[in-house]
Amino acid sequence: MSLLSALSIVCGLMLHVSVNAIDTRYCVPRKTVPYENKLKLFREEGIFNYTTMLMRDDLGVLLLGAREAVYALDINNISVRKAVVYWRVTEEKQRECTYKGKHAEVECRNYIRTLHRVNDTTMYVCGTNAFSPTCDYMTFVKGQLKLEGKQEEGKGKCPFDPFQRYSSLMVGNDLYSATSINFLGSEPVVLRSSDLALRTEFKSSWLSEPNFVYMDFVGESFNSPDGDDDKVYMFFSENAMEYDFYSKVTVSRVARVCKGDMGGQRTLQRKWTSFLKARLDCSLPEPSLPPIVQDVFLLKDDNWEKSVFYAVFTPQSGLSQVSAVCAYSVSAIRDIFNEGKFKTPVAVETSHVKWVMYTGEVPVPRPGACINSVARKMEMNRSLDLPDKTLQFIRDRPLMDEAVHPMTGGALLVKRGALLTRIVVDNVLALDEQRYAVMFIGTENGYIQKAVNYEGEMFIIEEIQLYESSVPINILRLSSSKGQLYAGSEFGAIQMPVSNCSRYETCADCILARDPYCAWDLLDEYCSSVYSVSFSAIQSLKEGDLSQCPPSDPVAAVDFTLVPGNNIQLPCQLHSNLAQVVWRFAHQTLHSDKKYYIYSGGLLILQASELDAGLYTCDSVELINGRPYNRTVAVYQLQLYSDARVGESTTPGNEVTNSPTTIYNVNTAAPEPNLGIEDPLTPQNQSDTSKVTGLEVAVALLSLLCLILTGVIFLIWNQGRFGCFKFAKRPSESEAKRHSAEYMHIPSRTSEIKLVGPDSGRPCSANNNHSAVDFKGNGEHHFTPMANISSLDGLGYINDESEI
Amino acid sequence: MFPSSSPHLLFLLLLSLLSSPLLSAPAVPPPPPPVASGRVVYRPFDTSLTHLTVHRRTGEVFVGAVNRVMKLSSNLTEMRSHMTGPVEDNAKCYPPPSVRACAHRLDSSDNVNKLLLVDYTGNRLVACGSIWQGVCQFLRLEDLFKLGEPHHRKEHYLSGAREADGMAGVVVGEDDWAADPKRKKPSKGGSRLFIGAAIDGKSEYFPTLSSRKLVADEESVNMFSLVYQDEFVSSQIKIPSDTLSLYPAFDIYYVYGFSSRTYVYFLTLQLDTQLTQMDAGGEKFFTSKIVRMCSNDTEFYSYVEFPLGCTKDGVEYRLVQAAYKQKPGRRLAQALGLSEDDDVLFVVFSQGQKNRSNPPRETVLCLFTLHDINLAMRERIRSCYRGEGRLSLPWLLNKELPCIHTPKQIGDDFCGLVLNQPLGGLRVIEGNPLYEDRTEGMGAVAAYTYGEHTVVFVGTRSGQLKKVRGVRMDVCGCCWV
Repeated sequence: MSLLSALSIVCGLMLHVSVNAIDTRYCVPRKTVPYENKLKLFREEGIFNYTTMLMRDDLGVLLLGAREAVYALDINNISVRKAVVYWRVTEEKQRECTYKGKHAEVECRNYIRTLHRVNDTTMYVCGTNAFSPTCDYMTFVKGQLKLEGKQEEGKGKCPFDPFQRYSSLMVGNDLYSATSINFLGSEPVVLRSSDLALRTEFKSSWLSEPNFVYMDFVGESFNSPDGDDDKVYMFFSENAMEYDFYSKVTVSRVARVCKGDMGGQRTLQRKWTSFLKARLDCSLPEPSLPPIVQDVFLLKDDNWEKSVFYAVFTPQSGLSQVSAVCAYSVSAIRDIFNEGKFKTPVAVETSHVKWVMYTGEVPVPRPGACINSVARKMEMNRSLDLPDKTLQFIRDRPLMDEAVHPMTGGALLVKRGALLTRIVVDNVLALDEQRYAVMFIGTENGYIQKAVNYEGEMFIIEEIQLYESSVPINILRLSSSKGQLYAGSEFGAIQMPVSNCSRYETCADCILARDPYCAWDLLDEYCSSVYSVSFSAIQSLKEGDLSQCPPSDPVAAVDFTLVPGNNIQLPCQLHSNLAQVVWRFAHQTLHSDKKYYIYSGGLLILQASELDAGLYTCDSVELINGRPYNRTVAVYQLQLYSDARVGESTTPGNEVTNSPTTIYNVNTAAPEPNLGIEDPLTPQNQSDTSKVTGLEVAVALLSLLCLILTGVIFLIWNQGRFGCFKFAKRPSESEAKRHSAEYMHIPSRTSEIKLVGPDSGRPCSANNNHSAVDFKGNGEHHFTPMANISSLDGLGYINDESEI
Repeated sequence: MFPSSSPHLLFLLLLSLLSSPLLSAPAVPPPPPPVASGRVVYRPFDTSLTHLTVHRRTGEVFVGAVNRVMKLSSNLTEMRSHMTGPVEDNAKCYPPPSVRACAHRLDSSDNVNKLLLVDYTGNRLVACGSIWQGVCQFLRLEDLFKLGEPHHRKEHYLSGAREADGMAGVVVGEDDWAADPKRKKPSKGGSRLFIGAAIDGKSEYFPTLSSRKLVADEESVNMFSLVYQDEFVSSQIKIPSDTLSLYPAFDIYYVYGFSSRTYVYFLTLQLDTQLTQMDAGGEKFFTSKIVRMCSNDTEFYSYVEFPLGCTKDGVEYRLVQAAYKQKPGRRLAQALGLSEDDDVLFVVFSQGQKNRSNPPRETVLCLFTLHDINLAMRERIRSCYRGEGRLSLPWLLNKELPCIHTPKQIGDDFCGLVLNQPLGGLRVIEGNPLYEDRTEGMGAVAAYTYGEHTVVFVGTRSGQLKKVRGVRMDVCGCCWV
């Protein structure tokens, strides 16, 4: 019927405007692994905020801090709880807290924020304790977790606010912490709690409303030719002082202090004499305000100079949906701090102070330097011996002139859609004897993105949905030795293996996954872990080269019955989000038009006629490292139904004969890229060919949708519910429209992105969201590609319209 | 400078203090002079006087001067004189050269007395000077024998500023032990000294306001140590270095300090950061503030600060010159609707907001009641605890922090929590103008109660003393001596 075909055309047209735009600047996960409850989960009823973790391989437990509880979980299976200790706020504390204007049941509870190893059996643990941070020692002995009840003052070691970002680190017996020291959260500090406590100067040029995200230790004193000290590096964002904007601009920073710092004698008494900071740059493809660092991971190397910080950035402006990962070499950061120029404040008339490069003489010993050979030669063996000149210089100029740039010049990963939140990185030794940094990145909607950068090529191997609901991943920990990843969120902790190679069933699948953890074992004919494969295993990470794979079994053609006048649906599910589908019939490539509708789940032949009988092939074309790789996914043989009983409803799925009639080999020729394919990025929306539902419902839904869409987009035709029909009666007109739309969007992708607006994050967000969410979200925008796809997907089983 | 022809009388001593270029501290009159017509003048010839204090029981007069501290009898006969300077020093030496050899050249430096207090519990005089980063001497009241001069710890250095009139101190808690029969003697640190000081840009070394222990042993390491101190909270307020970066000239000059009931108050002069341009070249504007804290507050959570001023005939007077707290006489109390136990405050202001160091001669004497001041502060605290507005203390916070709504009930005895503090008042607390002097300029004030009358003395810059009898506020009945 013309109505349905017209509907599909209208909707297909809209698809056309927005699909096709897999912007190569933004990475799309190759595979999407939807939520499955096979993952090991830990949560306890009534307990929330599982956001602090400490891995104790030596004790065989993962310590998990939550709201008012600390758990010792089996590190091999975190769903097994070995012990728990509850640390609840007292009623009195809670009451005091509410007097201070905080919410009794939300803020006035004890959120465990700090867990550090002290010795073999003891941990140091801090909680917000109803906006009155408190710390204690905790032991794990004979399978029992026990709080010592020492109740130390936690101010400066742990934030007051349960939801404020902060960072801490235990080095030896010294606790380094970066947080706010007062109830109001207005006084930031980087503190070392030790016999000689040291802290930052309370001065906006040191820290200006910072948001601390990470700290780690680098043992730079090891084999240091200039007798340098070990360092603690920290990452945060703060108000910029170097930009001259009307409004506040936030920038990302890396800062460091020396482990041996003891503060100054008069100037900088009990303050860091070695606090230096520099801007952290990570440029995004689109011009924007500086992105904000959200999390960092130090991928350690035995040679510290080769250690690398991996940092996740999200946009400063809420309008953008682009996240990025940049990597910074420790030695490059070290060089800037040890040798770079300083910035200095200059009073400018009629305005605030400006920060410019300092060109004057720099005192000796160099301000901010650790006590090194130079200082020792001057008989300064402790920071207490440093001269006032050096100390005053650094007190007033803690910022370096030069920014730290990413190692490769740009981002390792740029991704649109749900924002990235946390990162851990594993160093994987692949079959080619090379090490690859595999990034595991948590997102704000409960996914893990597993990504690698192959010599400049961003590649997301897969995304794995960890949580059924869309919750931000608040903490990630990696046990490289156990090959396990631990993630925490408000709702629970989840354990996930770093790889699941068995998911790849064929050699081609296994190789094309380009997962450094996985290799195809030619003997066993099995995709297995690189750590357990035989000598006959193959892998092709950078190239994705299939030439070593044995020839794959040909795809068997499936027989399908054609009933003239009916719509026919031929399912075809692609293996990769990156692949595009090519349908061919009688050596002709098919495009979506009034006869065919190509969607993510397959092909819809509208009003099939006798002429449509023949062989249909569904090929997947995937660009691997710039080269197209083509393989046949499905083959269908459409045969005319001899018994012409019109009106009998048959479902093609029931008619499939399992006996192959035709054999097709994998075709490796590269076809021309199909412009007309639909969005390949909704693998979770699989159509079910065996279902037939009421046509009325479907048509009603479809026409309603059509109405909404046409109403919004083609305002001219927005004349009530008949607009759709009116439009439908003039297919030629819509055809013309389609072409013009095509013409408009192809030449300029950037303009198309702007046109789509906030929704242009779709290639990634689509994967991470349920279609229902998409539907709602898209309804607010003018172009609603996902709504189209999901609705069509849902209606894909209208394959018999004899009743219309 | 000193009137040479007059007979010696105490009032003229006051006068001489008033006319001294270094003076601004309030003068305390003794009990009414036995001979009403007689005048006594004490006139040292080798120094200028900066402060004086009168023993509340004996009526003996202690005078602080440049390089000298003197003890006079109540009829101004010099009984003792103690030399405090000059001393070999250099203001850049921190710690002072007495503690560690200093790289800077030392010169013979005058020791300007900046604070003179009687510590009745310790039966000693506390005399703080300008040398050695502002160390203090403890002098026995009887003979000015130097009991000690603690100078080895950073707590002993109150401020290296050389100006004589930027520091004020209040001793509290000294009567606590006496009132408590269970205690036999003052506990260690029983007395506390609240001290406010101009710091001359050295916020790293000196707090602008602090509460310190006043211990029995003058040489004790605990002398002047902060009443409370942990890693993050202490009984002190420092001028943030961000404020000094924005306004390098920012300082707080403490003009007068007193205690009343459970509170300690200071009157200050400070840069008005809203009116003053940030660059150093522009004209500077000043404002007067009244600061209040609970005297038992060790963490300074009760800090409240309000602008203070006086308006007469539509003209604003905002530069505080001197002040004196007094209990009103019966008539004044009645006129004000107060009890005779309620303190009132007499304050002299100079006109406008400019020229702190050379204030205009147009001056006005104004009356405040502590009742009104406390009421304004309580309302401010209550409104902040209702979540209205912001903390509004730019010089101390450097950013706008919102007031937080809480269910806490704020009574008169409220001494602050970790939130909604420190708090700044928005509107100026205005006094009642009593008397105006546009020609000579008033620079000092004192008051006492004579029978039912409250008598106020003001000293002018030209060396005159005026007596103001303020009985009825509505008429402003003033009479002259």
